[in-house]
Amino acid sequence: MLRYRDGDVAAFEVLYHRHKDPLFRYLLRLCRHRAAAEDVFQEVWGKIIKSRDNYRPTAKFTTFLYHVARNCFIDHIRRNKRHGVTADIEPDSQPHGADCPETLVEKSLARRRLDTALRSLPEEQRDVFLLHEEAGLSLDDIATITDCKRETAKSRLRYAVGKLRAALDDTPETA
Amino acid sequence: MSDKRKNSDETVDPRVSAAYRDLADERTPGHLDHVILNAARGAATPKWNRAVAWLRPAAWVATIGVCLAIVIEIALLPQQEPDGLVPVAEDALPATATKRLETATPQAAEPAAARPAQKLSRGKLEERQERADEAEASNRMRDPDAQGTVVKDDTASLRLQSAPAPASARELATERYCDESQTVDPHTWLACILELERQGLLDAARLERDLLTQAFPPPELP
Repeated sequence: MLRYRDGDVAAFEVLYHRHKDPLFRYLLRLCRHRAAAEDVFQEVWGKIIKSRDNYRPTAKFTTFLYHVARNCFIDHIRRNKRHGVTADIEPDSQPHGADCPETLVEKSLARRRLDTALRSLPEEQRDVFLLHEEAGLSLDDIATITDCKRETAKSRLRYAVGKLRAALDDTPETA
Repeated sequence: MSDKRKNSDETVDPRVSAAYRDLADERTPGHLDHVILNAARGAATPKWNRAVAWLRPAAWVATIGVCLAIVIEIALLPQQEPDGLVPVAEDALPATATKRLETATPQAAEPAAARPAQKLSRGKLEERQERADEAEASNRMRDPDAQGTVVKDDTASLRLQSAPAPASARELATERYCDESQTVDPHTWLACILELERQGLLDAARLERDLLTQAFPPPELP
């Protein structure tokens, strides 16, 4: 980011390609609406680009990026009430290589169960879980981003993981 | 109990993580990559490029200012004294020279473009001075009684003879009223003299007529 601030566009491209997919998935899971996630995603990077002159490396760039992303998401919710109304993420829309049909079906069911469980999580727990999984942030960083204590973040993450684990342990017949 | 507590504190479950990794395989749309990278490239242009936005008009203003200054300077050039001439105090000149200056004032006030040939070089000025001296000598020979006396409306060279003036005043007295291009041909020179007479500049006309007589002896005159 410092190199980009000095005019090195290649440095920004490296940074962007490193973080774009996890950030997009994070926003996709938060917004639960692809178009909204794309809007927020674009807004986040726009703010990152604009703030390059004032950027100070006081924290990891990942922390800074997800902090901006979370604020943009909150602003997006405030701007329109579309959040939670529709959910157009299709977990099975991606092809899965050359797996056999049984494996594909099993994976598809597991994905569907996990996706359902993830959507049913409380927003704070889902946020902490996504920050942990997608951004790979530590509890301290998650606590900073979500503006809560470390123990609170840890508790939320534990609950989220427990619920997802329970959802995965369910048999396909019950799911 | 401690194992149970330890398990409950466990926030990382590899199985959940693996399942989530399997679920979360979405990729950023290509058009977003294009838009964002283009925006980043556009914003990363060097600051001096952005500075051009105000530097360019500033450069234009500076250029126009310099051009105006040059034009004004050129317009003011004729008002300066030619090389070798210094402004002479009015009381340092003889009374007739002062009078001549007064009569010549309207013409001197004309723009320089109207009299470009008057910007003579030092060599030509000296040559004209010699001619004036010769004319003066011939006048003296024709009218010996006038030697050493001051004739109020005589030529400038005679006035200079009677009262030795500073060099600048003498040079001023030999100032020409007809352009160099006009003095090449006797017809145009005579026309210039007639024009001077018409304007009432009789001293100047007389001086030019003497010089015309010297340069073109009577048979050549029209």
